[in-house]
Amino acid sequence: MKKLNLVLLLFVLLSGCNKSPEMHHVTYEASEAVSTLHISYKNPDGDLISVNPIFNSSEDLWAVEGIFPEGEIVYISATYDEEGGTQRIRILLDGKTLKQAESRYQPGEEGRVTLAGVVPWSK
Amino acid sequence: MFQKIFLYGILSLLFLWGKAQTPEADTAILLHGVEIEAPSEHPYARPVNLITRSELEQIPSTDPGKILTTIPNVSGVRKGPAILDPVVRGFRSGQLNVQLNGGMLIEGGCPNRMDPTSSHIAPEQLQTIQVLKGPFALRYGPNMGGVVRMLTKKPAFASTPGFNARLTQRFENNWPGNSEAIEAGYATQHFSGNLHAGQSKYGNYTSGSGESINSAYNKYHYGAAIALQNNTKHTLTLSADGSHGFNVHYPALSMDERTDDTYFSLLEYSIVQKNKPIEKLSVSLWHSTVHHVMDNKERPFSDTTVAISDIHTSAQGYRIEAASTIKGIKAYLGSDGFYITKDGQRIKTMILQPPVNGEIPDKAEALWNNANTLNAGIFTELSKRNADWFWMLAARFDYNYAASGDILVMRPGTPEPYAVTAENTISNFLNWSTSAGITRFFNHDLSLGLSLGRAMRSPDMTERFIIMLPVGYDAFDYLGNPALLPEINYEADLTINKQGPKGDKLSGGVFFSYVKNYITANRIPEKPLTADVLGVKQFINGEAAFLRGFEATFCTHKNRLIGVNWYAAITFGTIRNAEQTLINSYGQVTGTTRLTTDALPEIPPFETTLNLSVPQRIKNFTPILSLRYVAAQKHISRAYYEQETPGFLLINLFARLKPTKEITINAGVNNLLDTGYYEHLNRRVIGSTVNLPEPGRVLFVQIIFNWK
Repeated sequence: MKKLNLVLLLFVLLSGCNKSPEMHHVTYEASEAVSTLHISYKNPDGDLISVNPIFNSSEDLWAVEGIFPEGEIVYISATYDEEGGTQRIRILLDGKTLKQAESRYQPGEEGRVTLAGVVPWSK
Repeated sequence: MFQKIFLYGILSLLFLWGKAQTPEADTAILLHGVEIEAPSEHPYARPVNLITRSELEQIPSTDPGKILTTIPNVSGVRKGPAILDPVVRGFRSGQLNVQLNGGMLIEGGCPNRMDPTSSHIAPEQLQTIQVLKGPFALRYGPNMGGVVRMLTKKPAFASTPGFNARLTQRFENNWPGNSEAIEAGYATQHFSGNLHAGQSKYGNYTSGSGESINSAYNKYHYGAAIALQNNTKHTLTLSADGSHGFNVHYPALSMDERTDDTYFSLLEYSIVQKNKPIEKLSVSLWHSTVHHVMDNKERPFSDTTVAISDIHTSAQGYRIEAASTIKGIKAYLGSDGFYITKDGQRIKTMILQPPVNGEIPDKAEALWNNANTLNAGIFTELSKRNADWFWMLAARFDYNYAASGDILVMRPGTPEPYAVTAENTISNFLNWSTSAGITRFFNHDLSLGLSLGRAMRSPDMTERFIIMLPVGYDAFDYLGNPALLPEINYEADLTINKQGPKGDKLSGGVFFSYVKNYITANRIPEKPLTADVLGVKQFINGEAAFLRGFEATFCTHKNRLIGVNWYAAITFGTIRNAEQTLINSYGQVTGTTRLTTDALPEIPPFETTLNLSVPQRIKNFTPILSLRYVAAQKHISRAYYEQETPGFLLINLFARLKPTKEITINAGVNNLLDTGYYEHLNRRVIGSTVNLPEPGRVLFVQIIFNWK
């Protein structure tokens, strides 16, 4: 019986050695644009994805979601190619804003907004 | 009785040594399967300190580096959680030989020594720690400033076959966390095997001043060992271990350890045969690998650039030693060697820059470029004792080779990189070291010892090949220098041991060390690659450095009503003609100047500890009151812009209870008064001028179950 207890203890001990990172729900979001945005964002596989959503009114919303481990880089960069454009982009972590920025009425690349960071660790 | 000591003119210097009063014996002994040099007789003149299994259990730490600091004149550079990089009498890093069983080395991956050898071992795995100060012990590998031998528990044979097991559980409130370890074994007269595993999980601690320090860490380890022994005392032992850490926080470094995966294994053969020309022969082969990943993801700077360093190291080596006695002279003859490789890079991802060719811009920088070093040595030690005298002679010769791939540093804004081609990184050295010691015994209760030593050590991998990282005390990127010469330490130690009529012991010593070609660093006109540093320094051979100091110990016999264990120690280090970088009030480098004499950086101040206990008065219960006073450190390096450190007094309480044969409970409170303090060797918190504070009040309890 004592031997069995020891084996069980060993199992419990080793099972506690878990270094798997916690996963988080990340949302990239763009809004308040009135024309096409050129968006690049980093997906959970680490690939940089480029999309060009068309916005017809400032009420339109573009969003994409993914599950990211803590410590992973999150990244979104967006611009418009006509003068007078506007945009607001956000990175949400588990539904709460992690980062956000906007630009208004800047021409071309001057209107680019880039948001990036690291999914924070749970304390 | 102690007045007699004054008559001998020794205490006029008050240079005494040794906490544990556990000098070496002329013969090795087997204690639970572990070979140690530390019996009750004390013929050796050279200072040796020992931390036993029992003492290890009484120190509430998960880090052997921290445990080492209970030895006089042993301290540690601290940059993060309870992981200290040992400093012995002011010697550190490559100046010390820190090893596991069989001379095994674990080459850490982090250039900033996040992961020194001691960080890969849990205290529960250790049977004993032995510190041999000075350049006198030459049997255990190249040794310039001292040897730290961490000896783990080996499988022990048993005349009656049976299982044994041990479970250790520890809780602390500050760091908040717990650690547990288990080991189980089976032993017969000819076979022994064991398995062990453990983990530690600790959160951030709170300093005595109330600050929360980002110092959480997670570690776990496991391993197995088997041993076979036949009737003629041939013994074969094989062990394999894994040690892992993740999310280990270093507030005094620009990065945290994200993962560390270390594996090490050892194969040993030994034979003990009495009345034969070769009384003992031991052969060991070892191997270790480290995969170390660290990043700045939890630093403010990661909002613009995420930097990840990924480093692989490997080390392998051997040790052969034969022992014999010829005409009363104990002789050891042997050879040892190792080969270490190191390779790794840092990837910087500039995450606030727009995509380039469909990718987030990044940059790869080599930290090590296939750096490697080989060392092979032969050694001998001869000793003899008669009624009044004991003498010892030792020598070793080492061949040391080191090389690296090209060292290239792209200079920002200029086309020409800083470059050292691979063929120019090669260096070869033939190092020789020798030591001698003599002990004179008076009336069986007093002995005086004198040791003289001259030892060389080749520059380490960091000093030779590091590529632009802030690895020093100051805020500079450091560049390795393949043209460095070996350091040479000339040292003299004077020691004394006195035993009173009731068994009380006073011991201690004074040392003086002259180090030629001391490796330091000077500023060079290169642009740094690290943010927020002042410039670039390159390792060079400086002029002579001097280290001197003393250690003193007094302890009462165990039968005294009140047990007293007191020690005191100090090291004083200076260097000639040190270069100081001039920095104006805006934090800009304006030039350099030369200091005729300067203090060596990171030398601990005077400290003394008094432990009072009530041994054996209450059955199975031992309370201990500990007072530790550390003086202010005002002897500081101007070249490194070192800061003065205030002194402090700590009060610790400890109790050991053994309610049954199988159960031991150790509990106590450290820093009872919740004093806000920091050690002089604690590095500064990144982004501030404040040294990393130590924890405030710490309550701890440890329960050990031991089945045999």
